[in-house]
Amino acid sequence: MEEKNISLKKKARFAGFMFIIFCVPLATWALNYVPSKIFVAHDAVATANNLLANEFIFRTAIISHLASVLSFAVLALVLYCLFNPVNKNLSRFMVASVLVQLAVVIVMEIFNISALMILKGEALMNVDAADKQEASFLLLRMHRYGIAITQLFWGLFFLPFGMLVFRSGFIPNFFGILLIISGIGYVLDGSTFILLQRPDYLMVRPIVRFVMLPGLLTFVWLLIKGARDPKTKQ
Amino acid sequence: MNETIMSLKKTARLTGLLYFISAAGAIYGYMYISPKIMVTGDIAATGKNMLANEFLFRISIANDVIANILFLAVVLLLYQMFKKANEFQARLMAALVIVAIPVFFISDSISIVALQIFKGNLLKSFPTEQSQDIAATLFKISDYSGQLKTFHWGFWLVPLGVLIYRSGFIPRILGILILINGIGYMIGSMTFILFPEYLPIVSKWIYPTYFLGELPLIFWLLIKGIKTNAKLT
Repeated sequence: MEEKNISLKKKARFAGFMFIIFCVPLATWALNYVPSKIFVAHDAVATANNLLANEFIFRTAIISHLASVLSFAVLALVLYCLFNPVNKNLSRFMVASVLVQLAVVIVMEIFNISALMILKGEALMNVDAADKQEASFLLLRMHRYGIAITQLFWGLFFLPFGMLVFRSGFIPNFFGILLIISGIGYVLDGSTFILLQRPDYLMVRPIVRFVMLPGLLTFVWLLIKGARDPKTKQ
Repeated sequence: MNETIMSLKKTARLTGLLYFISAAGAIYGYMYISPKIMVTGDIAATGKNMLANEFLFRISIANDVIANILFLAVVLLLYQMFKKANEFQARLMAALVIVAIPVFFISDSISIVALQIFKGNLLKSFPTEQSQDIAATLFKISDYSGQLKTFHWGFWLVPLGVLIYRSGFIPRILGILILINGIGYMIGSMTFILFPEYLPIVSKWIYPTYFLGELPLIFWLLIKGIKTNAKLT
């Protein structure tokens, strides 16, 4: 029993470590920081110029996005080990929602690199510069939309994750509830992006945005405390 | 005890056979068909080659689809073989391969679209020059997707290498070679994404590792299966 707890703790710590050291920084770099340097809304020319000026960090964004989903996959499988005894079906559902994103992300990054190649003149060679910029902007947009749709899958990851945490007994119930709220938030974020008109969406966005916090909090807790002794709960 | 070794050996042989067929298809595609069609930097020539070798091109796509479906079986068999060695690593390996397979199908469908445009079945109202340009771009996109998938392809070989090293029924050296192969793939793909100008130099060094890991493993599985004196725990 004692030994089992230690291994549980280790896995929980490892999950927290993966999330905070790898997944979050890599994803933030790829999806927030780099686009903020490059992407100019509604302006294909400025975006193209930024992209060419910051070509190298754009390339690092592609790699770090790929690396971040790979580390998410590792994380999901660690969580699967952790929660499998709690409920098999829910934990499978949780892993599957992360894994399916991998394929989506690879495809999205293909769009990104194609956008760069078009601007650099390796593809669409006979098209004039303005059209090239538009085409590359289109591909960058497709990347963004694809990312927005993967938000739905994040919701589908956080919902079973929250339910498992709630049931597990070795992580405070409080975090389970937070994670479920977070999951609902992600699903809402994804669906509002698809369903609502842009200004409406932009109004909703800041409210929906902060639901990303609970996931972070939970993983910080996992990193620091690991799993608590299941007996102390009863 | 003996029975488990025999059944494991059977699984290993079957894995080797399917792996061999799948890899043979992939090598045929990359080594024989692609060079016949792709002309770097020359859209018109690529289009002409594609039309002249249309059937070959279609074979390469069918080939890719079949190779990937077979690979699904290969990785599930590998999972079966290695799950006793380390369940977590085995799961990771299987998951990484399974999720990469849709990407292959997407890049194949992009290639088919490129072919249709070259043939003039799609984008009919576009001037020929532009439609050819778009087709060549699509073809390029499916080519880039190969490079990004390589990163992924290197990553799944890492758990496989670790599993072989730990398993005790396949020589450890094969595990190490698989690890080197996997890291080679990742370095190659990272160079393509980050420093494309150095790709020719780097790939000269990396290229041998591509044949170092997977091929010996395939032949080992096919011929020997597993070590007969393996100590299974």
